[in-house]
Amino acid sequence: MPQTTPETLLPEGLTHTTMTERIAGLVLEPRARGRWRLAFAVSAALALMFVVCLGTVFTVGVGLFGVNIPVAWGFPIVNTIWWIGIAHAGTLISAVLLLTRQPWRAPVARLAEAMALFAIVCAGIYAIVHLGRPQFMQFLIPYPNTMDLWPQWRSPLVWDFFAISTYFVFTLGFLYFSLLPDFATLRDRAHSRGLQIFYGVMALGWRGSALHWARYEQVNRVLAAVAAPIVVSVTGIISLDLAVSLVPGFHFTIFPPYFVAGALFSGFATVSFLAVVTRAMFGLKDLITRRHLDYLGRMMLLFALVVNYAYIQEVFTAWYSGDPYQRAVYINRWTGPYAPAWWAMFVCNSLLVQLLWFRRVRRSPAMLLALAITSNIGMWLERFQIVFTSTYASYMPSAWGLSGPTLWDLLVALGSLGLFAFLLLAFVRLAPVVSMHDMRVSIYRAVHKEKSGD
Amino acid sequence: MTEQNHSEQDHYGLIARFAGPEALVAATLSAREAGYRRLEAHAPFPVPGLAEALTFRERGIPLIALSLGATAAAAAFFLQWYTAVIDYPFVVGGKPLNSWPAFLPVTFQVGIFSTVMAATITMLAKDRLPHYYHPIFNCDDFARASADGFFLSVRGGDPAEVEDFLRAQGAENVRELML
Repeated sequence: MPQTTPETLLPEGLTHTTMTERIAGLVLEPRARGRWRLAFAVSAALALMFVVCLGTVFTVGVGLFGVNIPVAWGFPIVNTIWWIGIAHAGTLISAVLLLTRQPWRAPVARLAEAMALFAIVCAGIYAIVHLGRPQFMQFLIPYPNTMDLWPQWRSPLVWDFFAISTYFVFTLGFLYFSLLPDFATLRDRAHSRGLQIFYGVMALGWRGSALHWARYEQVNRVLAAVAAPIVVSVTGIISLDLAVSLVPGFHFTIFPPYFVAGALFSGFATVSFLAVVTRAMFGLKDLITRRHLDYLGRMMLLFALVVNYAYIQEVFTAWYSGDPYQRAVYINRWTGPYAPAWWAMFVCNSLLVQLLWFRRVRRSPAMLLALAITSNIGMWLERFQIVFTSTYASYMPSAWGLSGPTLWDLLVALGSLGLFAFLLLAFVRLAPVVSMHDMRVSIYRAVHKEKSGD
Repeated sequence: MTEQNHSEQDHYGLIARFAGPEALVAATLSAREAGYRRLEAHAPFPVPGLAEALTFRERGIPLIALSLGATAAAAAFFLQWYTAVIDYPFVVGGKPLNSWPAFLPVTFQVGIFSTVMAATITMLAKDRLPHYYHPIFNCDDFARASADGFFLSVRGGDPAEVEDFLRAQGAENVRELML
């Protein structure tokens, strides 16, 4: 493919000194605080609303949601799957791209990791909400209790609990691990006593010792190697919530890989979204270049194609099974009361993403931002139509019944977006938004390459 | 006299800053050759070859992580088997009591969780972190070790002799470290 020489991944003349000054400066001497404050205030208000709404729901009961029988799982499970999916690309970027030594990983990895952590926080809260009776959540934990009961190990709900909590602890640990040397940098550069103590405590006394770095790299490789199976298993296990049931439209062996691909698609869309916003907000256009956006766009396209393949397989399986109920679910998805959701999903996930074949689209921040938003809407609609169309009309017409969101569903969903934004905005004020030690390795490699090339 | 004794007691060693990663690796290698053993090198990123120059040969962390992960996974499987078959036998959906394929997701997740924890905790223990006070933090320009400075510290020895050696290796500046 003929290519005009693309800009390098690192700006010319970036040294360890200037890079550290710039990135640490974003935290220690922030500028453009007006926009940040406004965004922070709005997201904090939404996060507060989330807390109030959940408090009400927990007090009054899940009857406030639009769930009913037959649609016993409404928005909460849709949003659990959606949020956990967003988290996955964060893990994939930080881990798999690390193992495969992709040079474009460094400036976007920190963003992706933070995004993953906060998306899991939202997913975890929604997972508790979707239990319906959150006051019995501890029944999922195997502990010796006065009832002499143990968890039901054959239930995907119990697997979910283990999968999501493992994933949360892993992501928190991975993020902190990657922040550790950067906290040391901030500790050494902070001027106020309070910040010195805060970053000093967080840095654990890291002193950049060569032996520490060597062990650090060993652990990093272990974590990265473990991350790949986590990415595959968490969404895979969540998809089994649906797939192990005998409901037409849920009961497909293709569900685990299908959900993983969908998760990565929406995750890369969210990373693209955050990359575009961050590079504009913090003036990082030379570190997160259009070439980085290009790569993110390619990843989005790749996983969108896998998702589309899964759509085709799903329809094919329904037809080939010869089962009238399976077939009816699909006809119903295209023509029934929830058909607008299916067709909107088709436009977002199957048609609009084809624009990513064009290099100019991938390299345009505005276009990528727009496609990131439509892709996330599309992926949300995908989970919506899977959950709603499969259950509202299954076997007996006498048991059919429509379900729609109530105001509480919508407020909680909006509130979870607010919580995500709130945590992310707080994070970028307290920690460097680009991993400084990873950038130093990139700079070192670039300089080294130049030298050996001479 | 007493004052000098006092300062000798407080003497920890010397720290030298070098121009770049290559210079630091070279200086570390020659310090090893010259017979210095109580060395510590400090860099703002993992410099290739630096740990090897300090004869770093540990392979323990992945092994410990893997074995602890496998042990925890086995324990998780045992817990599920014991609770489902022995302690609370209860037939669900006509499945056998020991429906082991259904026990695998939890087994897998517990294994992963333990691998991660084992690797991280082993690293912190071997590094002896958290370690909030260290004499090298007394060096006035050591803050650069977390940005763009490359340091070699030599513990003990005769300060004048060590300083001459470090200067001969091209150190940009040499400081004395006090306890």
